[in-house]
Amino acid sequence: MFRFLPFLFLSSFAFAATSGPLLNYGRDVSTEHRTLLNNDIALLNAWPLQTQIEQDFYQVTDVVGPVSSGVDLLRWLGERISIVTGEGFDLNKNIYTERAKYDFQLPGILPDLSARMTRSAPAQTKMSVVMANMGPVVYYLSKSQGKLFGVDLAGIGKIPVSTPRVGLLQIGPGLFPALKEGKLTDLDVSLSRLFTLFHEARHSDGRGAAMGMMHIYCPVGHAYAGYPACDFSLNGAYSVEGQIAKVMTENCSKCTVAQKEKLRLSYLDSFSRVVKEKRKISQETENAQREACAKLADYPVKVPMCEELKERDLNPPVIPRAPFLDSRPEGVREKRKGFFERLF
Amino acid sequence: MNGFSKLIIPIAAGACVWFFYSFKEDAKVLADSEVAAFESGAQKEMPEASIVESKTDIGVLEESSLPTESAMSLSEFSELTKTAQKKLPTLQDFKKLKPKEAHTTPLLIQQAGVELGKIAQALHDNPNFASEAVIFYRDCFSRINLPDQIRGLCLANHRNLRLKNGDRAEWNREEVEQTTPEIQDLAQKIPL
Repeated sequence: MFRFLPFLFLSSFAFAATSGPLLNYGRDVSTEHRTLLNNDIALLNAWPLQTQIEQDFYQVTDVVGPVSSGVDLLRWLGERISIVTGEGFDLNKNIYTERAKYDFQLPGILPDLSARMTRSAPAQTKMSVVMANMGPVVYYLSKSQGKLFGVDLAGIGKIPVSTPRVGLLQIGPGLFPALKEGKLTDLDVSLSRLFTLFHEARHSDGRGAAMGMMHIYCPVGHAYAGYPACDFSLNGAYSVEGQIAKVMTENCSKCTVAQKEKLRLSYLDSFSRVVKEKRKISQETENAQREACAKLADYPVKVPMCEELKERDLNPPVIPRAPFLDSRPEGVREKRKGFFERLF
Repeated sequence: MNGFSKLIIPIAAGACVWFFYSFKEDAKVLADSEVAAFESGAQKEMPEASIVESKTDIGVLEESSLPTESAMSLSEFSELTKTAQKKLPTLQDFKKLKPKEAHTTPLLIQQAGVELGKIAQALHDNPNFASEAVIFYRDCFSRINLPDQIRGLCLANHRNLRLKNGDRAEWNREEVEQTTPEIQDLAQKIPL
């Protein structure tokens, strides 16, 4: 019997070590929020996907197909997020230098932030944090300085951020609006949180200039004009969120018609943030201008707007169209050096 | 018992306790989530009236009660559509959003979803409200001060009602003239 005990001990330890949860929580994440998110993950795990999924779903999301249940989506999620910290987390205080010098992949190639918005540390506004992916932010800082930074999280320890795929998320009360009668557990509310998780997980992808799959400022005329809440790519975070949300919504057999309608508006909201062309003026505005110029054609006046249209017809401008960004991840996960490795 | 056994037994026991405790916690989470999923699913009755209050400054999500299928009259449905029309957020409302609200689905879109959901549910329960619903959806997709995602959903619903009525054209004239290709593109994402 005593010969059996070491085996029992080792096998138990080995099993426990390999079957960890999807999300590891920092100490500052409340039990209530952990329970809600774990329940959301469990919901995804059991989600059947029976309606046919279109080919562009796979092209946009990089989900390895064919998918038949939420388990396949959960696998995708698990590759991109793993750590959750709370609103109180202060990047400036918790960042540390893991290595003073580090060889990054694609050295010197970073996203151009002049026209984009980074997923910056959320502490700068009074607004409640909903969710933020801190991995690409720390990685960007690291790579721009040639040093390997890490984050020190209470309850988890030190994590070198050698790749955005470290999957460090920060959540806040904005993700859990205080509702009466336990509606935080309603199916549509739970699904909305999951969609946000997929959106943030996508920011763990991308390499080189596409690292972090960063957003752009929405153009003039857009509902979110002036906000860093659009994508100029066909496979960015909003496209992924829209595709995942659509597939899950249309496979929601337990949703009421009202819940499904609300979720449909939500995924259309995501899709609406994909800017497919960068035009100086919108097609609608151009059409209206052409109509006006057609009416003015009989009059002996030179209208600057109409002259510009004539010039544009003679020399049509090249209209930049949204591309598929290189969504392959950058970097590899590095383990923290052990005590003896640091000594020698 | 030799010295080795005296050491290994408590360690093994401790590992077993820790392993089974963590497994039990995961099982509890799964069990609770299954209960939550069923409780919030289609078996639930129409939501009761509840005004919700947010502890943060992100706003309030209202859900008011709906008459049941047998109770709602056409005039009540008409009132519902008029209320929804007033409550749908305009492009002007979006300018008041804070940056973090704009990054995810903002509350005003969630609230619009609730209003449109009430109409969709009432129409599903009372198909004879279709003619009134068509008017609502047409007004909705034609309003240029509404954002594209709302107009797109209204356009999709209008088209689906038209197709259910036997019309075979993918788009009719008013749908094309009153909307943009971007809105039509969004509407096509809603399945028939």
